[in-house]
Amino acid sequence: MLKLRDKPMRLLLALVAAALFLVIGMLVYELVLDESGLRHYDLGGQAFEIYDYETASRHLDKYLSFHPQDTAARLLAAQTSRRLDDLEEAERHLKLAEKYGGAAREFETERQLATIQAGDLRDIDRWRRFCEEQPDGPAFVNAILAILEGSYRTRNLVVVEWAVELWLKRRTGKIDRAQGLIFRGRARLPAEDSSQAMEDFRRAVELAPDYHGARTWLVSALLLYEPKEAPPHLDWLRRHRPKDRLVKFLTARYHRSVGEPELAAILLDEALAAMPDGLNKVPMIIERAKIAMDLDRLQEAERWLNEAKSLAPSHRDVNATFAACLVRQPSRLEEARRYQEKIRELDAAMVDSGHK
Amino acid sequence: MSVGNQPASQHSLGWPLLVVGTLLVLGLGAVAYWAATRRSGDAAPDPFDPLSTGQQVPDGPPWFRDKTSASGIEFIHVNGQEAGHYAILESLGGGVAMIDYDGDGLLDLFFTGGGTFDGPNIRGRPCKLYKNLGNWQFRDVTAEVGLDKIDFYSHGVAVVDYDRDGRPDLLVTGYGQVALFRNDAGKRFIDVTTKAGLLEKSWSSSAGFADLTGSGFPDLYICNYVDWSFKNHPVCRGKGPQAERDICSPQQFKPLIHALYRNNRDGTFRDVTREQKLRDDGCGLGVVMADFTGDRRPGIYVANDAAFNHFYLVRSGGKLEEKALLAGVAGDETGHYNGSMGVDVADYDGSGRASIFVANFQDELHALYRNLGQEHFAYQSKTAGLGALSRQFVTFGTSFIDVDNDGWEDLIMVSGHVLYKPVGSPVKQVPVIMRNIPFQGRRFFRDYAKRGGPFFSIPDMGRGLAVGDLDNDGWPDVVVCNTNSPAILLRNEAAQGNPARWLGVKLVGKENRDVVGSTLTLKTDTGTLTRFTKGGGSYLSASDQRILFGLGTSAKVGRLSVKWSWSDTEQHFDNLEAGSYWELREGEPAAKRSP
Repeated sequence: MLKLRDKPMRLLLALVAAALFLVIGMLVYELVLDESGLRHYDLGGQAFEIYDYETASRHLDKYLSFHPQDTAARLLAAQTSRRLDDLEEAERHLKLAEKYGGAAREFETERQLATIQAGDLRDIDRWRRFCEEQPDGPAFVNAILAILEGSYRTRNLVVVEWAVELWLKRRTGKIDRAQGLIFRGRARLPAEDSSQAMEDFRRAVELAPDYHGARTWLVSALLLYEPKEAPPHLDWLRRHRPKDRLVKFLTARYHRSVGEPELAAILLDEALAAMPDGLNKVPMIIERAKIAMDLDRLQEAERWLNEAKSLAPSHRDVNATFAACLVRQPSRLEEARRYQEKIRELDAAMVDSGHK
Repeated sequence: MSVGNQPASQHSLGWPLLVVGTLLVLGLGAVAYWAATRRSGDAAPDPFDPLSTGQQVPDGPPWFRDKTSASGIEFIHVNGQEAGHYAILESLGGGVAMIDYDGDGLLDLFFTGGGTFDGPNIRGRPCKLYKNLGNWQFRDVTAEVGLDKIDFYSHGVAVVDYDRDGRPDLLVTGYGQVALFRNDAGKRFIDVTTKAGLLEKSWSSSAGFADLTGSGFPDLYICNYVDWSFKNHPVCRGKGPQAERDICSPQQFKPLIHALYRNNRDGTFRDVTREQKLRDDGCGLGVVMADFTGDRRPGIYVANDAAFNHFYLVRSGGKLEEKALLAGVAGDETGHYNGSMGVDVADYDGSGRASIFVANFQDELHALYRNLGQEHFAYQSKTAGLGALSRQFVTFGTSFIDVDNDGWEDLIMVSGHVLYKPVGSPVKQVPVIMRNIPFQGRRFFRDYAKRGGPFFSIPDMGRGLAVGDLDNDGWPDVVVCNTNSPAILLRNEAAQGNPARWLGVKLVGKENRDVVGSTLTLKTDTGTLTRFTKGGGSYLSASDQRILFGLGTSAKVGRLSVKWSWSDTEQHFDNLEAGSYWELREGEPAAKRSP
């Protein structure tokens, strides 16, 4: 029997100790890497590449909390925020990036794209040319996504059609093709072509069944037009992305659609509590207010609506829901009337901009 | 035992083992932490709870049986599609009226004929009146009662005793004119349109009657649609770049102002549309009149296509006030208008108040406006379960109907597209029946097509729909008027295996005055049932004007109270026996059993 004084035994113990030191060292290195956020930068970048902006944003926020002066990460965070349609947050990142001395030209480009995405298409021709000339360049996706969002916003379907066609021609990966179908489906939704839109989203899911973006858009459309078909796709999202706020929002909308506002309220409260203030929060807050109205809790609804109003005073749905809340209160009709007037003004402005 | 006596080799084994052991513990701890922190943030919660798709509809015998084939009713409303004009005129369809014209106690059926095109000339197709012979047999009596001369393109029908002679008269709407037929002793109908002063030249759809001034005589509200004619007949296409020609949307035209005719109490009417400042921005398709506010005066709710709906309340001096937006009944929860067609009212939630249901266009949610009292309503479509329905429906005829006589009013709807080549929705669509059930402490409509019977799985071009008890068995039957396909008679057979009882009531106003706007409440073991007398309702159609109370399994029929319209009196009737129809006359204390 081997004893500790025996050479082989000592050798064995030394080897075990060395191996353990190695493992611990690796783990400590991993942890340091993790805690200092380096891993999050990589994961954020990977998520960004596959259009998973919610995840990208989460990782980049974590990374930037350790490395606030990393201007490249700031730029990526700005692009991520823009793609999440949170233009305020995007601008915040850009300003910080400028402060810490990043490349001014890139920030200027990003700002131009944000302007287009916000619906100001005055410079659109230049960017269309850019996309056509450099369809395989790294900036292509960045530019064309801004063009698409801006065109959706202004209902410029001609540009949407051009962008989708170019995208489908140049981007041939599975997820890219699915994304192209999503773009087309989104264009068809406001054109009151819901069935063709849903067909695009269904095809996107078939093409890339593991791509959450396709499921998300399909569920969004199903909740509007065929809510009974939503559960399997929504369950997939709930299984694979249980922490995703959008998935919680969609699940809440499903519950409300089928007459379960109590469940919807619980889910939305969770999602809203974990969400920083910003324009992206507004649709969720409005939905939450509607749920409160479903449950005849008008004061609660007003609290939510005041919050939404503080974030987006000229949002049509904020004003419409406020009006709907106030007309249920006999003593508040004058206020309701003012909100209805505001809606008329917003609608008129929309028609005017459409004519222009 | 002494420590100092232990062998040196055993004593020196402790430190290396301690080091290795500590490292091992640290290592395992680190691995555990690593695993925990790297556990995917997107892992599914455990256990995962899949979303529910709703309770199962219990099995049971079908509620409705199609009795059309051997009934003697062979009627098809024709819209002239074959001419290929793609005229928007073709989209409205036709209606059906339940009218006991001869007073034999059985509801007869009147259908509007529609029309065809002879080049640019618009021709009317014959309307039909079928006499109910009992036992689900009907006979065409159109010619013998003088209703075979209707030669305009017809859509809607309303039933009223406009001259208070105790006989129900008929109003037919359509393109370019309306026609009023006076019931002459239950034997003939006489065209009194011109004599009555109903000189409408507009394009009318649904119409309803109610006494809006307290005169005792019913006034007439007519929904008018849009200013289409062959002189204003654009070529329209469906969606998409290669879309073929199709029916134009109403937005291509100007809405026509609706019409309000005051009953002059002498057999004539006076147009008070301008005087009453009716709104001119609605493409009118549906109208229902009832007491919405508990003030014992009928109000008017109008369903408009592609415009906000209108809601008129009668103020002092008979002046109308339109307040749909401020009452919360103009559009949907996003503050947009819908394409609204059919409409009905009922106390669906046991509140005792008249809530409004509006059937809407494809991609829109049907609207349920819950009456909160004090002229305020809450949009409750989703809370009440209607949000679970597909949005592919273009729904026209609709009615509250207590199918199973459980005391709760269910909903029935028939649908069919207005386009010939719609995208995303079929031309022919299946009917829908939704049962009013309790759910999470409130009333809730659940799709019960599975129990409806085969009719609810057959797509068609549904338009007009009327509800009434055609065989006087106390279970409400349904008649549907389709476009370009046969009208359908559905017998309610929900009594099979169902112990529910019922009570039927016919209200007769003093000296046959109009009683639309009256409210009836019936006490039972389980609560209070409230029903409303209505003018108009559904789409282009007229339902049974009698009131049915489903009693469920309630053992006792309590007091029935009638709040008569335009009257301060509330009349009570006790000891009415279930399983019968009762005639309740205003001011007369005793109820009379109806045959």
